[in-house]
Amino acid sequence: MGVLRWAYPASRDELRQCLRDGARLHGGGTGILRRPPSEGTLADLSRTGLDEIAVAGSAVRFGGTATFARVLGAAHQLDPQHVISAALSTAASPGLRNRITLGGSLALFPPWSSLLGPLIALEARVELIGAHEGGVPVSDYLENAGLRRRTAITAIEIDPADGWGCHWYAFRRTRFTYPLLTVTVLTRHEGDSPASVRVVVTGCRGRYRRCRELEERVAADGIPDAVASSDLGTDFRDLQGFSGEYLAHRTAVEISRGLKTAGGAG
Amino acid sequence: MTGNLTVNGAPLLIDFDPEETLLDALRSAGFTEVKRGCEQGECGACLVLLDDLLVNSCQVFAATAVGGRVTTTAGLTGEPGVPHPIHEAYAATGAVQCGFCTPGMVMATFALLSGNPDPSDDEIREALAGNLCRCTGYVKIVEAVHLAAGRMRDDG
Repeated sequence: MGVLRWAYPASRDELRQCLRDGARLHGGGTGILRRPPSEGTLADLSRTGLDEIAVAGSAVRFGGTATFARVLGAAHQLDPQHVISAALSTAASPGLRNRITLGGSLALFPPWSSLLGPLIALEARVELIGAHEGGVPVSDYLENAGLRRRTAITAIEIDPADGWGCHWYAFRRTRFTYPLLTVTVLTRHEGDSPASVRVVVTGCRGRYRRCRELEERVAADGIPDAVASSDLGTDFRDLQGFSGEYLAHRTAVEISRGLKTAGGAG
Repeated sequence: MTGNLTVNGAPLLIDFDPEETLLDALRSAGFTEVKRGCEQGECGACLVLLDDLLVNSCQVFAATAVGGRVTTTAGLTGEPGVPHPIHEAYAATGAVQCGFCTPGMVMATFALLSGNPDPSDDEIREALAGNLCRCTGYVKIVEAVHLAAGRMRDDG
């Protein structure tokens, strides 16, 4: 039986070496504790200096090991109504938000993540080192398993979302529990009409869906009185207490609400 | 593995397995005021401050805490056996019944009041959202936080 060893990379080069050696990464969050490894190498990323949060040109750049608590604080400073603020202010609990990292949450992509919908809707860019180096759109990172193998997320960049109205919603069984699904709606208006719309649902089959057909229709025809679940192309599994049909209907209702309320901030 | 921590202001050499949590390491070293509850980060019984940040010690590998400063509920005043105004407020309001959740509640309260000396009911409930109590129904706990906040403001 093997043993578990710890590595403490203190630079990007040392982190690259850990990745080449096949180490698993630990940013500080809780995901790895759900299935702790009993052998191999775990690399603790807390000394790599990847936790900086900075404004870079017109974008905001969050270090991969920036915690939810720090990201929440920065997003709140940017704009108290920012979609990242809305999502992270109710994510987990204060103690857990001090540990869960942005990069870890994206890399593990748990179905209950509060973060994924906003990052996809904001068309975030993910910066990687390791087997793949450079920046990629967050949707490419999520869809291409090759980008997740032997790579580390060093930063996530988002535009400040200036001019976007936002609506974020999580459907939960109780106040302090993980979301069963989330809805993110961003709208940017010109006059009274929405010029751009982004709608993302998480928790559905395939983990997430960006509702592009609905986005195009709303941008062309305006905000509809109601959105039907059949308009979304999302499909939900039956869960304990909630049928997939109910969850799809709940999602459609929340998107309808979001298109109207997010529209107020154009 | 071995490593150094500072716990409640005193240096401590801990001996731990690579997969051991900070909760296990602290309890093995005698800090049994840090309670073992759900071990999933959901009940808050094991909350401590690590480098001044509130953390669920069951969700922190001991190996990643090495070199850090840990504060438990017993170390809030820096003087052994001397209660903190938060401890006194919990006792005064009857917010302690079986007492199992109390160390974690006290730590979450301390973290809240360190940044917000006069929280509203909603802010208290949000700050304690990660702490479960199966006895009190939380009403007395919210009262205790208000009382502690008032006393700490009065004490400057």
